[in-house]
Formats: sequence, C-alpha cells, structure tokens
Amino acid sequence: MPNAEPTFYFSLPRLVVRARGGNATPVETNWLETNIVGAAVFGIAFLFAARWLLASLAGWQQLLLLLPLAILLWLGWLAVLYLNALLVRLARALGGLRRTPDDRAQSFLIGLMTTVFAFDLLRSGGWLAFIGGLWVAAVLLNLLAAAVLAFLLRHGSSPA
Amino acid sequence: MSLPASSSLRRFATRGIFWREYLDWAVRNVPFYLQPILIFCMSAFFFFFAGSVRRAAVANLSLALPGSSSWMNHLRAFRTLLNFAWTIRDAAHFRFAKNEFAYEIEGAEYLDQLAVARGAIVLTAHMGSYDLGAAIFAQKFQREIRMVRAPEADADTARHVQTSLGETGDGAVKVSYSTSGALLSFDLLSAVRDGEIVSIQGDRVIPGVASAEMELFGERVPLPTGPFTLALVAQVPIYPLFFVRAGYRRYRIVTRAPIWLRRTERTRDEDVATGMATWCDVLEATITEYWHQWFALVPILPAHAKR
Repeated sequence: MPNAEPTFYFSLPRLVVRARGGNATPVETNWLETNIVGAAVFGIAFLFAARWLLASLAGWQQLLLLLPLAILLWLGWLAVLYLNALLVRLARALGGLRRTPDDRAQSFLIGLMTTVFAFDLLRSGGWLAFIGGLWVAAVLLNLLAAAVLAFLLRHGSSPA
Repeated sequence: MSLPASSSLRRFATRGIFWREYLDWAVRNVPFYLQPILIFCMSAFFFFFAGSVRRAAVANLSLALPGSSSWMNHLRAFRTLLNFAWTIRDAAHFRFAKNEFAYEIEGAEYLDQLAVARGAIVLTAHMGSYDLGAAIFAQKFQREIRMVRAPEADADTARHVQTSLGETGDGAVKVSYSTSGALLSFDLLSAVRDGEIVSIQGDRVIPGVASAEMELFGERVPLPTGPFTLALVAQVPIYPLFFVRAGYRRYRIVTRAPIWLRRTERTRDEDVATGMATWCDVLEATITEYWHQWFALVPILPAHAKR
C-alpha cells in the first residue's frame, strides 16, 4: 500500500525526517529523491564533459553538439559502470569490500567521481562553480548526517 | 521477429540473451538513482534500433486508439517501451532483492474468490508485469500458479526465462510452453481439475495455436480459443487479471468479474465464442485504459503483420 509519510535513502533527508519524528530507515523507493540525485550525477558529469570538450567552440557549434555529447556521455557511463565492477571484483579478490553489495560499492565510486567533477566545476567560476559548490556542500552535509545517524544508532536510539 | 543466423550475433538480437544478462547485471550493479536515466536511454536505443518492435507498438496503438496521428502514436510507442523497460527492471529487482512492491487492488472481491478457487484460469494480456504479478500472487496467497507462455525464439533466452521465473516465484510459478500441442491441453485440463490455477495470455496468437477471429476495437483479430475451451470442458471460471505499473515501484492488480462458460444446447464453438466475446469487452476496456502498458510487441492485426 502507498506510504503517506515520505521515506528516504540518503542520510541528510533521513536525519531531517528523524528530527521531525518520522521513519529514518533507508529505503530506495522515493521517486523524487531518486530522480534528483540521478539528474545531479548525470548533470555534473555532462557539465564537466561539456566544459572540457565544447568550451572552445562557437555557441552554435556547442548547441549542435549537445545531443551527441549526451549520447557519448551515456556510452561513457556504461563503460564506467563496467570498469567500476571490475575494480570492485579486484578489491574483493584482494580481500576488501566483502560485505558491501555491488551497487553500494558502485555508489561509492560514482560519488567519488562526481565529487571530483564538481571540484573541477568549482574552479571554473560563474554558475558552473555554483553548481559544483552545491554538490560538494550536499555531499559534506550528507556525510555529516550519516555520522550523526550512526552516532544516534550506536547510543541506543532506534532509527525510527 | 527473426533472429540473426550466426549464434554470436543472435546474442545481440532484440530478444537475444545478451540484453537479459545485461539487465541482471545492471540491477545488481547500478545504484538505484542512476537507473531512471539509464532506463530512459536504453528505451530510446531500442525505440530507434528495434524497428520491428517500434512498428508493432505503433500499429497496435493505432488499433486501440483510432483517429490519433502517427506522430502521436510514435510518442506513445516510446512511452510503452519505457514502461516495458521499467516492468522488466522491477521483475529482475524482485528476483534478486525480493523487496516488496507497493500495490493496490482493483476488484479485491474477485481476487479473494480466485485465491480460494478450486481450479481456475487466470486470463491476462501482454500488459504490465506478467512475471512479477504471478510471483506476487503466489507469494501473497501461498498458491502455485502454472503459467503458459509463448516459447522464446532463442534457446539461451528460453533457459534464462525459465530460471528467472523459478527464482522470482520461489518455485511456486511453473512454466509450460504453448507449443506443446495436445499434450499440454491434457496437462492443463488435469491441472485445473486438480484445483490448480493456470495463467494464460489471451491477447495474441502464435502460429500453431488454436484461434478464432473475434471483434476487437471494431476489427477482426485472431485470439486464442484454448483458455475458453479449457474453461468449458473443466467447468472452471476464467478470471481476467492484469498487473499494471501504477508509478515508481508501485503496481495495481486489476481483477475483473469472472467469466463462466456454460454448456448449452448450442455447439461448443458457439459456447466458446460467447466467452470470448465477454473477454474481448474486458480486453478492450483494459487496453483503452492502460494502452501505455500493452506490451504485445508484435502486430496483432493480420493486415499489419503482413506489412
């Protein structure tokens, strides 16, 4: 049955929900959260790629190449996901990430990569820097929220 | 759709094993928040490169939604493919993670009747998530379901489907293929007489399967007679049931009033035709409401198929 109370996966909204007395158990079923984070990851990668590949071109050329760039980026993501899977497999062969599910390990690598892209956008100035800054701030706040939730959990308080 | 002759190329055909294995991999490896965009991109890829599937979806939509433009039906066909991608993703996700899906029920009284029925036929269509629906039904009501499917053109794909269904339904969903001929008919008759539930798709025919032309959306369309003959001979009800997507990780079980086929003074074909006409009304109403989830991705009108 549909749930009236919003539930989230990422720590920052979960901490807010918890502070308001709601359920802070992580779930992957929030449509809005899923699409906002997905669009942010793809958007930052797109801006990073556009900055490096299209910046030197004329405005009309940039406009013309936006769709091919989006397709290239999609193919690039497929390759990155595959390479990440190989990295995770290698890490497991070396004894690491044994208890981490595949998608969580991928999530860590993708988060790291997107943050590197965001730092590059930060250096560029203007509205790109603002977007890069937003991502970095969101990551930092999320990590802080994760630490607070872990602390609360360790000290005997249930997630809900 | 014909598959390439070379076995290495067959893997990459639209119904080849590569895409099913890729989906399994992606469900386990791609974080959930990246999946919507990747699903959109993959749907666009298939929309442009799987021409026969796109044309079939457009042709079927022109039948179900008469008077709409070809341009509009192409957009609708894309939406249909996007929904199809989500349903197979959700079924794969359920298979690996066994996460509960939120679902609502339309026609709960009929579903309750079905759950306790001693022998029944579930008649459905290529709509929503057939596999996930069967698995959730089996799990919710602790009942086994015997699912009749059209055979896969590719042997590797057929093996994969068999394994997937076994895992999705935790062994409660048994699969039979609709080409096994008379042997299958006796097998199904015996199953419903033993009190089992048999699930069949009744919105399109495959070559070699008994069919009759019925009126659907004002056109003569061949539909399978098997489920109706089975219901008439075994004297069990037919429950029209559809498991459609209602949103992100949300489904709707749509159950309609059971169809009873009674033996009368008329010929068996006439009794069967009466039941089929009722089914056509149900099918028409359901397709009109959920056209964006009608995944009969081959043309159901013989004239369209010839083209």
